[in-house]
Amino acid sequence: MKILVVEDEKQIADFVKKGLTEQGFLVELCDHGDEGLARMMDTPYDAVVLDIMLPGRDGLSILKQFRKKGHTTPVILLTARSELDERIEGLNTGADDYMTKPFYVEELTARLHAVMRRSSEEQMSLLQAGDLTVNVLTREVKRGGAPVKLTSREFSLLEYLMRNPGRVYTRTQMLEHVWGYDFDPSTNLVDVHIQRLRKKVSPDKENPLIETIRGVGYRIRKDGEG
Amino acid sequence: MKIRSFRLRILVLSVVVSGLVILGFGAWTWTMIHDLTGIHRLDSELVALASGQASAPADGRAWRAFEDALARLSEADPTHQLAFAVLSRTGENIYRSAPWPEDLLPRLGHPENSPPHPRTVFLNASAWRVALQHRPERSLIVAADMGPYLAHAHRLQAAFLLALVMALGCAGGGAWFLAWQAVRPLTALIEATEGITAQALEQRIPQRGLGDEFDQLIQVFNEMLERLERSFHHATRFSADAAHELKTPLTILQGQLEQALQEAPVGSPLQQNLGRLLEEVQRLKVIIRRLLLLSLADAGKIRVSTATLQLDELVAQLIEDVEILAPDVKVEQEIGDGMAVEADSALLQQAIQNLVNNAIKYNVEHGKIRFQLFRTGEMIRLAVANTSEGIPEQERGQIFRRFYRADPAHSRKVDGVGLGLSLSREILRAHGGKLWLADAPEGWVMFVMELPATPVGDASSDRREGSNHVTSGS
Repeated sequence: MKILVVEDEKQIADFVKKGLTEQGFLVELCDHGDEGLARMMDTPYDAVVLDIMLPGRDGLSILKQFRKKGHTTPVILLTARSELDERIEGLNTGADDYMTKPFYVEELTARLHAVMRRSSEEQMSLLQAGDLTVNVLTREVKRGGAPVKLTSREFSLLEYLMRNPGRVYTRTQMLEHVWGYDFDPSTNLVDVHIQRLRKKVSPDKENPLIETIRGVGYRIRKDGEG
Repeated sequence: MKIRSFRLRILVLSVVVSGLVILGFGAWTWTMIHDLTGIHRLDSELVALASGQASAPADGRAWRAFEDALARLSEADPTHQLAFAVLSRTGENIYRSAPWPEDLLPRLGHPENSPPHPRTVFLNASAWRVALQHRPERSLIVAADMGPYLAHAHRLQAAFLLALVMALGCAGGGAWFLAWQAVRPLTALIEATEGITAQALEQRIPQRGLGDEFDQLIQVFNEMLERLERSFHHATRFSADAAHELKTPLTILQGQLEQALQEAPVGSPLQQNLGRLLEEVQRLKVIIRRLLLLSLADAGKIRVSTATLQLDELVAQLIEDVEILAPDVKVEQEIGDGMAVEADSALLQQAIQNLVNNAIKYNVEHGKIRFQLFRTGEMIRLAVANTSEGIPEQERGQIFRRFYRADPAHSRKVDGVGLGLSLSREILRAHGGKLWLADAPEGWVMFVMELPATPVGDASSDRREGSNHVTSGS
């Protein structure tokens, strides 16, 4: 899948490219507003990640112009300043989603998958690890074909981890994603939920699906590893 | 007596002052009314006539000539109706002129006892001014009809009274007008000032172009507003700029740290260090986000993008969290069904989480937290109460201040930056609701938030409304 990232801050663009490439995206970078718009018009990308503050044309006006020409390619906006206003304006202008800086690459990956699924009806909805399958549309979880019942928080947590097997997540990252960004970080909410999840989805203590990374956090065991 | 209205005070004061002046002038004039009628001139005429005739030869011819002279005088001036009489020493009438009032003599009494100064003698239908001249052998009386003089005096008095009433009326009206004029710019100033809030600092009070003291006041006031607006905008611009400036490096920092964390050997000390650094970046992010939200709130620019939110479900989830976060704490709940609100779920969730966090942080050992969610009219209320050592009376008013943290003795076990409550309050405000510290029984602290309920029929659910089920959990 081909993604255009329009972002003038080189270091941000670099780690976004690196992170998305790891997830199997084909990433092109662009650091100027006018050039960005031109390339969006010319090339059929699968999705565009668009910063709002850009040299030349700014992100919102690029988006406006782009939509005016009738293009429906999904666009995710990156915002920094007065985020709420831009968020509302961006969604009104025709953005499919927005990311507030600072953001995590895997969050961006998840949003990209979501908006592309929304636009192309492509079934990216089945996540798989070991004998566990998670359907993000129907919210059904099956272990070896047998359904597993999860609470909504347990499901969100599992879905988050399953999107990137092998990737390590810190507790605060999980808190930010599942519980809302402002929760007090000094909590053991994540640990308790991970324990409950483990009991339900991977009772095998010798070879756990959800691995503890000591001093850091958790990850889903990647197939072929461990 | 205290008069609260400045206008009324001016009115009363000026009516009293001008009234006193008018009354004083009136009293003085009242005493002068008889002078004004020319009575003194009449008196001296009467005396001159009487004394002149008294020295003249005393015979009938001279008296008749005098009578004729008086008649001619009376004819020349209709206000001078003169008469005279001559009395003997014993008081018998020797001569009297033709128009002589019958009842006058008996009223005079004995002429020798009468004072020589002219006086007024009132008869049944008329009044006479009488001057006497005594000689050893006889007394001579000259009298003038007072009728025209009294009529004149009455007319003067009536006119004067009318003038007095009118003057008092004018003074009152003038004072009212003056008071109104004096207070009008003040009223305008008050109205204009009432319209000025942090969200409408661009307002100015129009000058009246008179260059008087009020215009100077308005100008000074406008200049003050100008400075206030400028520094206020600087402050909000600064917060927004600072947040932006901080966010770019923070995005880079977080992105690179995360990348390095994934690449570091699993479980290595390096990975653990990177994990800790990432947590610190997270903390920084939260602080910046809160500060930015508060600066937006100050500028009145918190805009919420709302959707229907089932508050009862949100609260139920939070209660599950409390049971994990604080297993020692006993949770009591009265959660009504179908509590739909229009809210920005991320923001409202943050506000409620702040309350829940406080309820955990400032609880006592083996304490309780009580959640009550119910409907009051068009509003939905969430009360979060916890057992506590109590908030001292003097601190209750400060609890919503920024960077304020209750209970310094316990601040070490408490994590956070002290922005939580003031931020929660701003979030509720942006939703058209409010948040306050409620009165609670001894040993409890209770915060209550209130926000408008989704109108019935609008809500995605039309479940039993207002019916509460009470459960008690651990």
